[in-house]
Amino acid sequence: MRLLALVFAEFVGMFIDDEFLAVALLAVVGFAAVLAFFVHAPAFLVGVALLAGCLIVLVASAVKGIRRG
Amino acid sequence: MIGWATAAPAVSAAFLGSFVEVVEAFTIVLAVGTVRGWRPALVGTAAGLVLLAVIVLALGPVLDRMPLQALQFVIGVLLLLFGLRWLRKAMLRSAGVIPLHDETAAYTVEAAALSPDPGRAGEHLDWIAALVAFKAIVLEGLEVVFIVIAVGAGRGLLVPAGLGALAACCLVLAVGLCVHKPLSRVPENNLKYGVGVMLSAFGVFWTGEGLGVDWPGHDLAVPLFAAAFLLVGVATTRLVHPAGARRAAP
Repeated sequence: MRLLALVFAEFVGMFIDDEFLAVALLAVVGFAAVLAFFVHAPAFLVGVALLAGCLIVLVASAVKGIRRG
Repeated sequence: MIGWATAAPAVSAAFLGSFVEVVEAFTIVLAVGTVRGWRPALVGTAAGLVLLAVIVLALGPVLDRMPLQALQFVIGVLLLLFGLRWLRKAMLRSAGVIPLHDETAAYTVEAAALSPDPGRAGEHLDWIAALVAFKAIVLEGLEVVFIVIAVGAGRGLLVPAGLGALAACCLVLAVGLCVHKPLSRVPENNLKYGVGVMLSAFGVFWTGEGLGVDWPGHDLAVPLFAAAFLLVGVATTRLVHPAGARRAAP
C-alpha cells in the first residue's frame, strides 16, 4: 500500500513540482480555450496566445526560483 | 507513411528523455547489485519491467477509445506541465540555484543505505534489496512510459517513440555493462535541458491542435517552438543570474 502511495505521489510529482508554474500554466491553457471556444478568436491568435503564455509563465517561474534560491 | 520531419522530433525526445531516466535507474540497480547481490537486483528489475508493461497494456485500449482531438489536448496539457517542469529545473541548475545531479554521489548514498547484510546472504532472496531495484525501475520507468506515450500517441508514432526509448535502454545497459560503474560523465543537465525544451514544444503543439489550431508548417512548427523555448530559457538564465549561467551553461 505504501508503495502504491509512493508511485501515485511520484506520478503527481511528474507534473506538479512548483505550484506557481502548474497553476499559471493551467490558467494560460484555460485562457486559450476561452479564446477558442467562447470568443471564437481566429485559430492563429489562439496559438500565439498559447505559445506566448507558456514562454511568459516559464520565465516568471524561473526568475522567481532563481531570485528565491 | 510517416515522414522524418514528423518522426524525428518524437524519436529523439523519447530517446533522450529515456536515456536520462534509464541512467538514474541504472545507478540504483548497480548499487543494489554490487552491495546486496545481483539476484535481488535482477528480480526487482524484472518485476518493475513487468509492472510497467502491464501499465502500458492497460493504457493502450483507453487511448485508442479517446477521440483524437481530446487525446491531443489532454496529452498536450500534461506534456506542458511535465516539460516545463523539467525545463525550469534545468534552468535553475544552470543558474547554480540547485545542484547538478551527480550519479556518483547518488550511487554512494544508495550503496551506503544498502550496506551489506551478511545475515541475509545465502539461498533466500533479499526482498528489501529487490524492492529498492523494483522501486527505481517503476518510478523512473513511469516517466519513460509517459514520454513515449505523450510524444507518440497523437500521431501514430508510438512504435518509433518506443523504439527510441528501447535504443536508449540498450545503450545505457551496454555502456553500463562495459564500465560497471555509475555513468557520471553523462551530461545529464544538458540532456534534461534539451528534453525539457522538446517536450514543452510538443506540449504547445498538441494543446494547440486540441484547441483546433492549425499550426503554420504543421509538424515543422515543433522545432520552431523548441528553438523559442531554448532561446528564452538560456536568455533568462543568463540575464537573471549571469555568474551561475557561466558556471554551468546548457
